[in-house]
Amino acid sequence: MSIKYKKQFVKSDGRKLTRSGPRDMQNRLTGGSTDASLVELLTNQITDLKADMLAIKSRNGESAPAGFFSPEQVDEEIRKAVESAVAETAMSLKVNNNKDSDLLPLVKEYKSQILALQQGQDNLTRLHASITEENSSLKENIDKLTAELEETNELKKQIAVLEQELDGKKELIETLKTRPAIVDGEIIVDPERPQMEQLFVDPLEEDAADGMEASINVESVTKDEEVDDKVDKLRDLLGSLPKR
Amino acid sequence: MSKGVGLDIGTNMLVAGTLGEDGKPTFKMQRDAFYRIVPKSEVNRNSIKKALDKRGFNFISDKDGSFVVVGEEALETAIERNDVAKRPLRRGVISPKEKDSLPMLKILIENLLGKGDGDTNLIYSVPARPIDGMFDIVYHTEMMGSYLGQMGYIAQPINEAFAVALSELLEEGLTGICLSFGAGMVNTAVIHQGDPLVEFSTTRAGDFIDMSAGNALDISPSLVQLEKESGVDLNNHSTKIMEAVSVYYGSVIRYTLENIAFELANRKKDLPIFRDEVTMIVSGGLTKATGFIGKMQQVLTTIDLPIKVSNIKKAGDPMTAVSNGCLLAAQL
Repeated sequence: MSIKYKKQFVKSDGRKLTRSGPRDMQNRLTGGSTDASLVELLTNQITDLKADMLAIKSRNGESAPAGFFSPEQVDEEIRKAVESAVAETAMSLKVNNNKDSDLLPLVKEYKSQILALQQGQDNLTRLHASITEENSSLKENIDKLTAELEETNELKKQIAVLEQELDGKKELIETLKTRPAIVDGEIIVDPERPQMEQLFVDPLEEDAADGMEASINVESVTKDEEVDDKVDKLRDLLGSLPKR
Repeated sequence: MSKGVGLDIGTNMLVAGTLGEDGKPTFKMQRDAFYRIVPKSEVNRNSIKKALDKRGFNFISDKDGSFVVVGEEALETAIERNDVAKRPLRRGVISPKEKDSLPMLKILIENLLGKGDGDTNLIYSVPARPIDGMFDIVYHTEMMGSYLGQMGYIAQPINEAFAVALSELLEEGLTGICLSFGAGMVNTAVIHQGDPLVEFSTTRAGDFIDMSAGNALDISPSLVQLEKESGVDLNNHSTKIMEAVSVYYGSVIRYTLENIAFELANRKKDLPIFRDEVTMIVSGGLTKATGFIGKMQQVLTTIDLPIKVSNIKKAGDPMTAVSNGCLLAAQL
């Protein structure tokens, strides 16, 4: 009597232990697996032979078991399927040709719609280009305006400073209004203001030249020129001598 | 025709213009320079007088016993005594500071013109307002008018450069630019159809050349002046003095033309549009130098004048052009 071991032993921690009995170990040691591998080899050979035999039978016209097709059968089946598909396609083309006359106006309409759409697209492309161009020029204008705006702001600031200075000058002008101004070395006086008479006093005494005796002899040079003609020309051009 | 007279009162030269019986113009010139010799004794006085008479010098015997040598001889005497001659005018105008010279100036003018009859027109030249100096030309104008009135003339002033135009610009219809290069000043006038549009003067002229060359060579300006007046060739320098004079000539010409360009640019709004190029007339003692016109043309090409100049012409007689203009004006 041999001892039976549980082939599967579940330990308390849940692990399963298999083929861990002494017999198994003994079998592995004594080579008890030779039969099993022989059996497996033979089984495989039987399976192969079975398949070869079925193929031969089928080639010889013998009925094959259900679910099995020989290559010829497969070819035949494919041929039939292709012929059937060609026939169906031909039928279908025939039907379509009949329907072409009905579709022509529709095709025309679609074509015209396609043309219209293409034109529309061209127009849109051009519009896009012109908008892009205008956009860039607008950007330039905006940049210019921004710069001008900055300049204007700067000028406004300068004007504010100048206005302040002007206020100061106005006050100064009010103060100086009572005094004559000097421009380029000349005294500018309000023409309505009463003016001092210009008087020149001779620095010489009346008898300054008295008692002086001149011993001077100056030679004169006479030129052979006609003065009358020149005077007449001058009279034509000037009339009289301009007053200073 | 009236018998008006003209008088050019220059810093260096007095030129009187009168009409002869035959209607031809006659000019008398006198350098307005003085040199006073004060005798140390009566004997010395007699010997000085004899020497002056012997040499044929023009002089005035003053009541204090001194002698005042006048004119060209004043310069010679001053140089002989290593001194400088006095001049009543400085930079074209008389000054109260030079009042000691004024009686001599009056005597010189009277000697040139003679006494007036109280009914004779006398046109005398005056400088224009200087653009590079601050002095009173009104005082000069009024005082000279007063002196000439005392001599018996109906005196009227006229701008020096405008007088040049009356003398030299008739063929151009009194349109052009006139420059009078004197000793004390250079007077400029732009005239359009007889209308003097712009008149001004600059104060770097003949005296400036004499002074600058004298300082550069450490010699008397009077000597430089005599050398200069004996004849200058701006292209060939025979002596060191002539070389120095030539250099300062160039600087005066450039200074004058640059200032004219500057002044005309400033007064552009007062100027009409000259459709054609105009003639530029130059007169005065400085323009007698050989090569003067060439130098002017050379400098003018480097300056941007607002009025285009077709040609530069020297006055028929640079020494009498102002006086001639005054004389012609006195006949109007």
